[in-house]
Amino acid sequence: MLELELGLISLGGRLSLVPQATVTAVVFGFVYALVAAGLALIWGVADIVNFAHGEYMLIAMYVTAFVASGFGGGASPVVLVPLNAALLFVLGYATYRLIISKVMDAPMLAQIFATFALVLIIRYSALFVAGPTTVSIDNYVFEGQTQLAGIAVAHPEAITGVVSVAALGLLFAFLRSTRTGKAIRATAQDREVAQVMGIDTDHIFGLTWGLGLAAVGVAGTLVATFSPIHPELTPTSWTLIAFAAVALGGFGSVLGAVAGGILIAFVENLGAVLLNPSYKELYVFVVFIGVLLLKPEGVLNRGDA
Amino acid sequence: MATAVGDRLTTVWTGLDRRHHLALAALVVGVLAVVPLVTNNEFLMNTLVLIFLFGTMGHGWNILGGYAGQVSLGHAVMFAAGAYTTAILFVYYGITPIVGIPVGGVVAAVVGLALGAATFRLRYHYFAMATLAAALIVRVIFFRWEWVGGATGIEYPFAELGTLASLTFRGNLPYYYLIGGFALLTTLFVYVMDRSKLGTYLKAINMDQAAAESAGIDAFRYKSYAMGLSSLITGVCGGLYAQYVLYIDPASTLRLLRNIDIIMVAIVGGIGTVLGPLIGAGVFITVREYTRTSLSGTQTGLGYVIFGVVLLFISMYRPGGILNRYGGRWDD
Repeated sequence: MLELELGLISLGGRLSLVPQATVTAVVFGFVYALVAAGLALIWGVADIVNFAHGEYMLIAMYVTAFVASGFGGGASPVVLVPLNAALLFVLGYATYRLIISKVMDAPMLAQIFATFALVLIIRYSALFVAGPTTVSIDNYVFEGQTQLAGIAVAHPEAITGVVSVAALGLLFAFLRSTRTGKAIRATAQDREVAQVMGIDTDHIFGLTWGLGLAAVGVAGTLVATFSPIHPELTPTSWTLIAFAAVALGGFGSVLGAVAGGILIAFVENLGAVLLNPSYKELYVFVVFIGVLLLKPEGVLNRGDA
Repeated sequence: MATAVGDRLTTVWTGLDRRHHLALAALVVGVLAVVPLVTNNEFLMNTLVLIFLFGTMGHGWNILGGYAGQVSLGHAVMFAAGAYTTAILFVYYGITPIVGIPVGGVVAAVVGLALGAATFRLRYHYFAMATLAAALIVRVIFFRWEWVGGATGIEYPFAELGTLASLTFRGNLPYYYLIGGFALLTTLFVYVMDRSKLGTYLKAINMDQAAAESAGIDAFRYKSYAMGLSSLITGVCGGLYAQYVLYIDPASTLRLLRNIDIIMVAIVGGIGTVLGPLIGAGVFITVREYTRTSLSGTQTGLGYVIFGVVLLFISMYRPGGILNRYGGRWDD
């Protein structure tokens, strides 16, 4: 069956689609990188895997969709990007303080179940509020596309890529040059030593959660301008993209996650063009599980008793 | 309140000896055995059948996740392996599910062992993520795989309904005894395993794998035993599920929530305990069925919100579940 579908388009035909796929991959790669950086930050500093990463992104997406339709498309995403970033930052800080801080020293099982519980709560609250159908924003602020040498870039996607890069730049500048950023990095290196040095690690973990989720707040707002939102499918696929990117980049490394995110976008888009477009997700999952299984260094010894 | 009840139950149960356990179990089984003679309430019967089925699946997950401490988020794969094997053998090849269900269990066990062989090097959330990724890969493949019916799935032929060879029945009563019987069998098995060498080794690996290995326990081998048994039980449940609903598709057997349903049952009741999955299934299925029938449309999602909150509180304040193996402390 697979061969049959492939046979329909000649190799030359498929190769001619590569430039377009490359451009799409770059644009999507940046937003994947942003989402993955958020996950990696929380993972690397607080040593917690946030299974609900995609669900938090869903919140930003629904806020964007509701504001857009509620105000007749008048509310610009330019305003919503910082607003959602702030909203998700607060949610992230609160999530840490109210929930995650209670399971920081708990068995790994309890940590997995805590963020899985958040998956259920957020996703099915969203389903309850927004209904089981896909929501999409029509005629939003960004429209049209630019054609260049036969390669088309839709404006919403291009803007998403650019703003994602800017957000990543801000995040890195913050981590690198501010006092708080240094405290975050110190806490990631050694929690206890940081504590001895007078760093309020609980506050730092809260900030880390805030920053990590602010990243998906930005990404969610942007992606919602062109991509349909489904309460069950959307968060699952984004969480997995982020997991795959983080796995590729070496667990817990923010810079690695950025590289991983871009790589995942290439796997997805080139796989779709060269192999079969209907298995896009599958290539990501396969790379993800492949990395988990074949690159166990850094995986094996973490968290061992 | 629930915590106090849970502690009380744990104390009473562990305070009793083996003879009393069996006497108590016989009493419960006896009561359940006569329930259908007293009432034929459709809702009650269906709820009990589902409690038996999910309790048994919870047992299956619990052997690997609760006893051996390997949190699988991909048990829907083994469930689907059992369900699809049973349905394909019967619908495509006319092989009776009396043969098909055990074969489905074996296929699920083989799938589980292969998955385990690939993933057991990974620990904790890495193992959880790898099994989740495997579940999503299988889900995507089954949605597109025409031979297994693609997204439409496989339907049992209506004409065969009720024949012995099809092992399908009109009405809930035969399913009640069939699935209840398997639940009983599995519970007895886990009860014996809990105190056996295997059970002890698995608990040791769960507590501290490095220490268990230095004491001479081959962790990979015992985790594989746990995976094999766990998958076998889950696969048979898949087959029984196919018989009960007479229709399987990737959306119902391989959805993300199927992985979570199975785990929820084990966690709510008490991971790594003999009776936990049954108690968890009792609570989980009753609430789920109640919210599903009394609410409609998108409101059905509310059941999962409730369980999210329950799961959250369990993980924060009582990670051992209702029957708390951890004794209320973090000492994993």
